[in-house]
Amino acid sequence: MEQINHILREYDLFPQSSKRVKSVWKIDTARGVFALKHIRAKKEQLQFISEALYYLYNSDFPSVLPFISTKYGEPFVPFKDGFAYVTPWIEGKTGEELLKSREWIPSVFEALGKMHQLGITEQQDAIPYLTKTGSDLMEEWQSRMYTLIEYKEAARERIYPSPVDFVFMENVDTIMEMTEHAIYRLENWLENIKEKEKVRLTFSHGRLSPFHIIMAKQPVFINFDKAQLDLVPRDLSYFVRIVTTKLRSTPAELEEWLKIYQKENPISPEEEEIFNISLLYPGNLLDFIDQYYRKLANNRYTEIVLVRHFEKLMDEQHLILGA
Amino acid sequence: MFALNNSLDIRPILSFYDFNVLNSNARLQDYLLDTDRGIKRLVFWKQIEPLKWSYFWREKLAENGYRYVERFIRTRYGEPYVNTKWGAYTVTDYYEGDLINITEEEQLVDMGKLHALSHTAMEAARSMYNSYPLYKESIKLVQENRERLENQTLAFHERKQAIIQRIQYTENWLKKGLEMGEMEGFIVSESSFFPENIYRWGDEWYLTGQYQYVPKVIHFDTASLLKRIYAENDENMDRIHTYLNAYQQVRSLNKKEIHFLLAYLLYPDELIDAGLQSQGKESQMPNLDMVIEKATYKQERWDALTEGVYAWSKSIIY
Repeated sequence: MEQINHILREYDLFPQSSKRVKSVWKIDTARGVFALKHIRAKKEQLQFISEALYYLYNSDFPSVLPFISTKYGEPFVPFKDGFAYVTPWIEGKTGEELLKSREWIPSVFEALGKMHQLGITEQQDAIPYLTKTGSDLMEEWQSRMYTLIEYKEAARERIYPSPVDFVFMENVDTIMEMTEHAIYRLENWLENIKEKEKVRLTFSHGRLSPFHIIMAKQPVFINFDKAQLDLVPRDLSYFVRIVTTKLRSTPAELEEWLKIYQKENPISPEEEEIFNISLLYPGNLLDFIDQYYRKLANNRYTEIVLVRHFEKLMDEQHLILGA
Repeated sequence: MFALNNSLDIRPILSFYDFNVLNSNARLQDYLLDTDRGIKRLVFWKQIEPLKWSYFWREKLAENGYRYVERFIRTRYGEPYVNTKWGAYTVTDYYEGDLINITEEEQLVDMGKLHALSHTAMEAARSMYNSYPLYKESIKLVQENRERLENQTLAFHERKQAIIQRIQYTENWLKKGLEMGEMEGFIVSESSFFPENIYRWGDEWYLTGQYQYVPKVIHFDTASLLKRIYAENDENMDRIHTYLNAYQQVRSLNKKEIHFLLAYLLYPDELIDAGLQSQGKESQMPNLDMVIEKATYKQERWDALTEGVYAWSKSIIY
């Protein structure tokens, strides 16, 4: 707390009480309640985030909280191995509490659409970068395909297959098919993008989940630690994955929510395609399989737990594809 | 309430800031403002150049990682000062609490390091201040004092030559430093760095004050401080070494800077004062001998200190 007091002095905030809530300190002062957050990030990244949030907030977009400046005019201050910034404290449902209902979801799609629309920048020089990162991604997916084939061969030859081996063998062809299909479509998408003159990037949250949303009068997005300029579908596919798997949304609901989003920020056919590709690619399943086979000797969970988890992931991937 | 100090109305200045002033108190060199965001100081600067320099090094010190420094609070328009046709105003925090204790070894180390950090920041700010005239001026001042003493027909003439010789030493060291500096540029520092500038707040030392409006040649401040450390620690040279070693850990003193430090340590302040004070008043000052004796005694202490610093400096640069 001692160190925090020095930081708060730079804001002329004198705490009457304070308590730690995860990585955030809730600070009660005569001037109101504030949140002080510690973040491990590069200064340039934080500068980018603070400028973007300031711009969004001043563009009449209340779903973000701009960093409050110190009395010396700085948006954040060095703290421990990173930085600290201060925002107003917002009360509202968040995290697990939000996952108990779904009436909040349309407003999030609407706010996300607005944020993306405000954050749009059309960039010519992003195409070579996208082509390069897209090709790297494709290579990574291909390499994971080969590893999957190796795991399949090994599992097939095992004299005493484990319960996870059984589930794996049952599903591996489907998983390979999804992966192959995603690679094929990504390859086409990359060919297509090379011919474009410009590409739309937008200010993206990077990890938009119910844990980074507070439902106040309107949804408020927090924790922009991973924010960057990215393709429009990045946040969208991340968030859709969560609402589909955690809340078991129906295809009809999802269609409705995407309409709400598109009302604010219509997406182009190329953007729609990369959105579909990112949902098609079974990343979570491949991560699980990889972890299981690489760390077979020191798994912390029992086989039955792992089998259940595997089946859950398969189920979720089917839900996503159904959506 | 705000029309204090020669009826100056500071309300228009305060309207530039986000805080609300509940009360204000005009002091000799500043205003103390009791605000809804704590007690602040309002300081008037006649000239903008030293202000900008002062602002720059304070910001640089913070940027370099030492945040506990008195900095200029931004106006609601994001400016670090309010400009008027008479000069500019700055607002800073006002600090109260325990001062650093230079008779405590550990605190002496903290102070030495902080001094070095502040000099590093001032070094980075050197382009903000046209310091060459200041260096020339410092030599001119020493020369003038020497000439005044040379032309003086005063009672303590038997000591006069010795004093003049000392001033010449200072002149020589300053000139040496100046010649070297012409190649590398000049660093200026605030004119004083004393324990009264360093407050404890929480578990950190806050560097405060230092508004002398015109900076000085670097190590003018160090020389004055070393004299004080030496005097307050019963002329214990080990304490001087503790301080200088702590400084050296953070920032290396080069040959040129050592020249300036030695020059200021050698400069016989008290003797010159005593000598110049007495001019033409010999008959009215029956205790002149005593005044001169006292100044001579003090100077002998500073000589011992200078010798000690010179020996220390040889171990690091020669």
